Amino acid sequence: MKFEKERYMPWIMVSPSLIIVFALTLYPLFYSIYLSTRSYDLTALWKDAFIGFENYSHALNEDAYLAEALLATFKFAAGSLLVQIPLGLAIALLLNREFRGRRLVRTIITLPLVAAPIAIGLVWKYMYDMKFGIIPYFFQIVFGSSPHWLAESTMALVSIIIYDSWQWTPFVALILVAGLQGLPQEPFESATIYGASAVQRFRYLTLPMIRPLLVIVALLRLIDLLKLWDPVWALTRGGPGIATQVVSWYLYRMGFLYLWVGYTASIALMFLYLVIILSVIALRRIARL
Amino acid sequence: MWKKQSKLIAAIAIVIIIVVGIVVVWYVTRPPPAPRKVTWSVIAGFYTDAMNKIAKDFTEKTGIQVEVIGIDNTVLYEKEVMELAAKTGAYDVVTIETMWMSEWTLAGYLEPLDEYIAKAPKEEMNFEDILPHYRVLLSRGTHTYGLPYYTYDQGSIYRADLYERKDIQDLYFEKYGRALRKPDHTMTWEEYYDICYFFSKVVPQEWVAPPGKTFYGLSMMAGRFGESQDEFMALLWGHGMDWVDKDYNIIINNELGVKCMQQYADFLALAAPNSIEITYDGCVGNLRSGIVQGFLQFFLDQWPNAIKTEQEVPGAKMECGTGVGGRGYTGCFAVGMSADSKHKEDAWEWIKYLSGAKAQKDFALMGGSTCRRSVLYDPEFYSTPELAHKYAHLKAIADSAALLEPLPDTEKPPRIFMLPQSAKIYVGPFIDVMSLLANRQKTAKEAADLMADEIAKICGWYPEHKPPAGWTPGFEKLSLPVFEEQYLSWLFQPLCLVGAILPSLKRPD
Repeated sequence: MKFEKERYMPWIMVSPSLIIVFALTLYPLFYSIYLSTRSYDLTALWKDAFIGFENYSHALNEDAYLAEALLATFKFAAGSLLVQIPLGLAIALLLNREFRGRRLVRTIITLPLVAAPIAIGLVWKYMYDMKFGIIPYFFQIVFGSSPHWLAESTMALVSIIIYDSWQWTPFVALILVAGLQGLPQEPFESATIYGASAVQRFRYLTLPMIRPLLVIVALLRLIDLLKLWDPVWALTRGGPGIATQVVSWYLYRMGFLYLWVGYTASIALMFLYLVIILSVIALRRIARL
Repeated sequence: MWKKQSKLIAAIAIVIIIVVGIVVVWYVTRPPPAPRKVTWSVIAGFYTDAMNKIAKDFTEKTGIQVEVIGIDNTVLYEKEVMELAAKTGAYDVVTIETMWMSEWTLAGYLEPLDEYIAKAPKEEMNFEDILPHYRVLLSRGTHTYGLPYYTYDQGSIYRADLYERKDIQDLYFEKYGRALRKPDHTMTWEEYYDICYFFSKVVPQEWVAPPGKTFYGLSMMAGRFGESQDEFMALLWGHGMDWVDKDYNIIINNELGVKCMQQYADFLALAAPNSIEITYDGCVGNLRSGIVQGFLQFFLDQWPNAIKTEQEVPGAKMECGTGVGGRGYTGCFAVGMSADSKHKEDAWEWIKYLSGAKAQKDFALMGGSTCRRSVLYDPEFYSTPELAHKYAHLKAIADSAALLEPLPDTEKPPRIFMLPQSAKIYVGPFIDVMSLLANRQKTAKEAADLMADEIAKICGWYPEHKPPAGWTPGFEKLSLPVFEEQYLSWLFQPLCLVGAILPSLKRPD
């Protein structure tokens, strides 16, 4: 048989990449699906058995800790978005203007993005420390007392939101700046001529035009926020109590401390489905732009 | 045709010559055999620094290199279990926390050491010299699986200068009608609560607090770490309680268990506020800042750190002794041999050396806390008042151990250690529930009930809080001559998809 070079050569060329993709993504995925149907405990391998959807049923119906973790995750995500989107938009509007040193400012605000999250988390942990942290110190000076940033349930979540917002608001701002710079100028010029104030121009022109991009940025951030890990590890380890035990942290505990690999696989897969749904929505929105 | 055949023969001959040449060159130039080496996973920090020195001495003596792999305490468990479960043999010698022993022995992670112990010369081993409660803690079934190399038994560590001050003593007597005593094993938890309350709420701040700071009755390890329940267990065992009774029925939420939980919360109300964020190093930090008089009960191995308070707080004088309630948290880090080690004989040499009297004494001289009687009672540590003060923790460990000796073996380690799932309970609900209690997200009764439920779930007994009829921990299986491999270890080889799909080969129950 004549070797049809043109037909098979592309497959041969991409086969090394396909093999790597298969080995590193599809195989673990299928293996996770397999594990999720078993009572697989790394420390008690003799108890391994096929149990069908029992892991899923337990996770959805009986696991109060998972429910708390989901609630903590959504609280954190909602709080972070409420801070990062408006703040990012405000910074983007500022950076959209011409002023001296704009490029330098843009470079400086991207610095948090390039820092290692764990390293930054440890710095923030020291900043929140009640004995020698700079944040409680300033609160003492200004307000006379300081909350326990990492030791009170509500404040711990707020502390993580502040840290995450400090790191990722620049990302939001940079994307929105790009969007703002792509807006047509004629409607703004017309509005100015007709006497519209800055607030009116923002409300009736900027916001509607930039809304699709805002939705995409919010979705992208939401996907990231649902996978939150580094701030929890660095700052609170899921505490106080279980106040900041988000889903990713709960997965870590089930998988690496309890070593209930089968059960962990089932939770991870359910969470993956959720993230996939959000990702598909985001991608469709991007395609419509 | 002959020309074609001769060409073929010549080509084959050339190939053979090339191959032989390559083999000869490889053989002649191959590197010398690797030196004998064992890898040892150990807690990173002070202890590892001391161990590096001991490992160097060992290498000089035996020619066996020891690669000391320091791992942070917060991730030691999972790092070791990953390697042990996957049978990688990455660590020849592993550090074992006594709470992990039941799980690891039943999972077949550890090699029994009895034959090695029996064959070792007495002057090198002297198994009976090891404190009895560790010998029990590190055995399951009829086998010994680990030898202790450093203990963190708890006792009392406190600011003796505060207890000796006349004005404080008079004020205490005025309030309570009894003399202010230094904490030790004869003191009840109720009396110690009064003392902590006294230092927190009664003693004028200007008498005891450093300038610009607030003084508290104690510091506690109530942060979201495993040590939070080490501390609570001292309270629990001091009341004669445990998490499970002798038949493994879960009893933590009975009346006395709830009382202990409430007492823990009451102590925490008197503690330095950062107690709910910290563990043992934070507690020592509080002590050395001069803002607390002591702890609930504390790891005696922290004495070398705690005693530095005398240099950092003017007028401070530190003392240590047996723990309040008569029974402190008991535990140690031991060394065991991985069942998958490829260097078992060399691994045993290191285990024997590290847990032996010479290395234990060297460790003690460097500030470590030993598990051997001969070292604890060595007169060299008490030959001068200065040395006796510097090594006071060794006497405290010996005195605490002496309190346990009259107990039968079944009571030396509390029952919780014998639960097969003790490791999971230690890294899971112990931390969660104690953190919920510490942060007032649960009352004492709610925390006790939740703890009982969580232990039952992990043990597979829920909603019952007791084992099924006929249940045993399973250690009788360990009395078999060899604990056979249960699984073909295909599951962690990425290309063995077939192995992941086919039913696993199982050891019959």
